[in-house]
Amino acid sequence: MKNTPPILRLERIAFGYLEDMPVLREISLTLATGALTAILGPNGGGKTTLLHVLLGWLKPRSGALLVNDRSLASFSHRERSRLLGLVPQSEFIPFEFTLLEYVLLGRAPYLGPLEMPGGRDVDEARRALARVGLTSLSERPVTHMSGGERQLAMIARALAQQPAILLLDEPTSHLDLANRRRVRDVLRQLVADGITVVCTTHDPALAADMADALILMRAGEIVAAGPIENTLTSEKLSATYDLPVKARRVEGEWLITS
Amino acid sequence: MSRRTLLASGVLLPALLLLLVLVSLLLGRYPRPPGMSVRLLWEDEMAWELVTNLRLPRICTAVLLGMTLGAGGAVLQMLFRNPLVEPGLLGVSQGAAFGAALSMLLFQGSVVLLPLSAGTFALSGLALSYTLARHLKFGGWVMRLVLAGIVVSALFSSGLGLLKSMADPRRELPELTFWLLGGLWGVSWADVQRMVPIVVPALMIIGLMRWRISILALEEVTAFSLGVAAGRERALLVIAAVAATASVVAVAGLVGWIGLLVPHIARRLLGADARRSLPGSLWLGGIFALGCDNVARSLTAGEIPLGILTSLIGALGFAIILLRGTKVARE
Repeated sequence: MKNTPPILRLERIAFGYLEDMPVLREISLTLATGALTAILGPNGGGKTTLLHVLLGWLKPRSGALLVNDRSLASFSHRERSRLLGLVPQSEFIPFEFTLLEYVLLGRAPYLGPLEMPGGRDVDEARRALARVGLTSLSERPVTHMSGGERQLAMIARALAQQPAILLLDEPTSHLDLANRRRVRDVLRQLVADGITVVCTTHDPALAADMADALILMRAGEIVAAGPIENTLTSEKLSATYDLPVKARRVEGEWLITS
Repeated sequence: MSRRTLLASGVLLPALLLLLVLVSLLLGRYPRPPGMSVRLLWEDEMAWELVTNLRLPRICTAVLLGMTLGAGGAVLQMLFRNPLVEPGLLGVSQGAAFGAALSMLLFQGSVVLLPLSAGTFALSGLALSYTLARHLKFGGWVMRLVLAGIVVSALFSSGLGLLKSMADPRRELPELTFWLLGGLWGVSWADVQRMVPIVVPALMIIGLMRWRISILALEEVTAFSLGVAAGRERALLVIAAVAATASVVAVAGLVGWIGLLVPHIARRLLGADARRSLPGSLWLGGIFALGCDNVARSLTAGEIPLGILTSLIGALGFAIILLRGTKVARE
């Protein structure tokens, strides 16, 4: 799968939790493969909803979600979970799993309901831990970890699924600077390894810091989508946030002010 | 998974339970406390009869009871993502008690209808607690589930009170009251035969699916992303746990606290991963219930109701765990 990344395409996807209150209005787009796409927009604009539609968790009211021209709805649970991994914004874990036990849960797509993970699964979980740089913590309980470590732990769990596409919900928004950088570096490395990464964020500076492409969203509609050079403009950001925002490139770095 | 804990959950605890079973066979007031010798068992026909027809079925029942409540508690705690859950807190036990009492009064405790009625009301108690918790407009999920369970349990126990007040005070009421206290006196092989077809398959399903139970303890959308048909698997496991609980409650009456305390001890000893903590809860539950029942039947000339003992020891044990638990968490 690494050689030919699957292409995820949305055709006129509409979604609403209630009949007459659309959250997503007729969204059509094709995800950039082998790149990091940020879904950017104000809070309540439908970003997480879109992410959950991409995962197949929320069923669109109309429209089609296609993976290499095949409807995602026709995928079995197992097929889907080998293709798409999810890192939720945060996860309350009520029991003291060790980090390795927690990451091992990511092997579920490869094991039947009555199977136990074996040596190969443990190896894969350890590899995922190494990729996020948490090998030394593998026997520590996840419940005792810091916010940054937990974010990386969730990423490792999703990586143990060996997904072609990784979906992340606000992966860095509640982290401090150092952890933000750590998560960003991990995500950039995953993209370099050929994984398609999609994450939501409400912060243009964060998006500018790590994304290759943007999907700008406001009130359930796409304001603009495409490579970051074309989409991270003062005009488009202002339209997204409904207030004047300036985006400039100064000495190769994005500078965003409002 | 360390080798040490694997050994404990797979070998040491079952061996301990087996040892306790063997000791329990000899323990009792015949010919005099604290029990008989192995030689007497072979030489005295009366002793042999006593052990095979009275003690053995009772021991089997105690072990099945403890295993079911321990493993059932562990399953419900993980599936509801709430370490405070146990059958007694979710309206399951009270529902089963109400159903059993109802059939005792209406059908004079028919051996077929009693477990069926207990099971039906146990499951509806759980369904009611769950539905109510989802709709409560107050507190987080853990809090709401506990609150809903309290409400539903209270409803069933008031229904139970009503049944008691209507029962014939000479015949039905004493029987009902003693059954509700929880105890294993007079348990026969027929009781064991009635439990085994439900309890054993249910525990096997739970045991075989134990790794999945850890996944189901994650948030719903995460479990979905991992390709788990969470709704179906959760329903299967809950029904297995509740059906087994109802069938042991139908025989043993209300025996509380095992389902809450035992999984906590198992997780402390063996870690949270259900691959170890679930078998651990199963074996520890059997050990705990059998140990308590041994005390219940041999400490005094009469009999202390098992439910009273498990509540006493369970509540104290839980308090100790909570007190020590905060210390561990702070370190």
